[in-house]
Amino acid sequence: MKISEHLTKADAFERSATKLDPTQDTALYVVMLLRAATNRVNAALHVLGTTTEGAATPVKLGDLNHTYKPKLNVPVPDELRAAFKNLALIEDLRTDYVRGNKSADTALLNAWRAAYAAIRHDTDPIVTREHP
Amino acid sequence: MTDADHIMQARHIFASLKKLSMPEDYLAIADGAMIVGYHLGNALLHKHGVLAETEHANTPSKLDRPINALPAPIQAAYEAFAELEKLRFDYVRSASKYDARLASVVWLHLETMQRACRDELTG
Repeated sequence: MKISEHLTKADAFERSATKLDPTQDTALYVVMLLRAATNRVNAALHVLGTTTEGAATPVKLGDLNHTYKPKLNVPVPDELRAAFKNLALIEDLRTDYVRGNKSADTALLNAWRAAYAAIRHDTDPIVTREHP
Repeated sequence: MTDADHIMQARHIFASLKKLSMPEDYLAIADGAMIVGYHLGNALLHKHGVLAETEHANTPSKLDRPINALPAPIQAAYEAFAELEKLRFDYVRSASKYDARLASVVWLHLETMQRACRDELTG
């Protein structure tokens, strides 16, 4: 997908997340964080030229569905290492909080929000750069 | 999770989904519907002994068999789940714009799955 489309989608998922009560709507809230974060990381990867916003080729991957799928065929750029780690943290919530039925306390929710904020902190400066 | 656990969780997430509105939340609704479908679908798989309670299938495309090889009473629900998966691909994982068709079909597919679960519960 185009960089602009990823950012539009990330913004939309963020807006939808604000309509939810993270304590009550934990499963859906996690999915919103995950989608917004994945779109921001994809946009940053496209800007850096690590992946392409066009059609994937054997040499250059297109969009990642997750940090691990499809597996990047080049090293994660240094600028995005922390973002990958934070995105993986959000991805790992699915087992217990989306596909499972665990509830989350305030401390956990704050940790998840912090992980997402860190992704924005790392990707925002990249996605606003001029790109080819 | 047991079939009852999955159904309860599906109801819970469905209630969350109803806090959102088309068209502004169309991406979130298309995506969230898959999660409701996941729980309803796994409830049906457990109820019919297709999968043990310790196992799960994330999506219809990850099932170990085609939908027409599932027990007859749950095939329609799985056809609906497969449609939800396709909507996720078309709208969430691809460049997309809202269109009015989405608003009706998402809820329709979920209703098909919910009906299958209700039928199981009421026998």
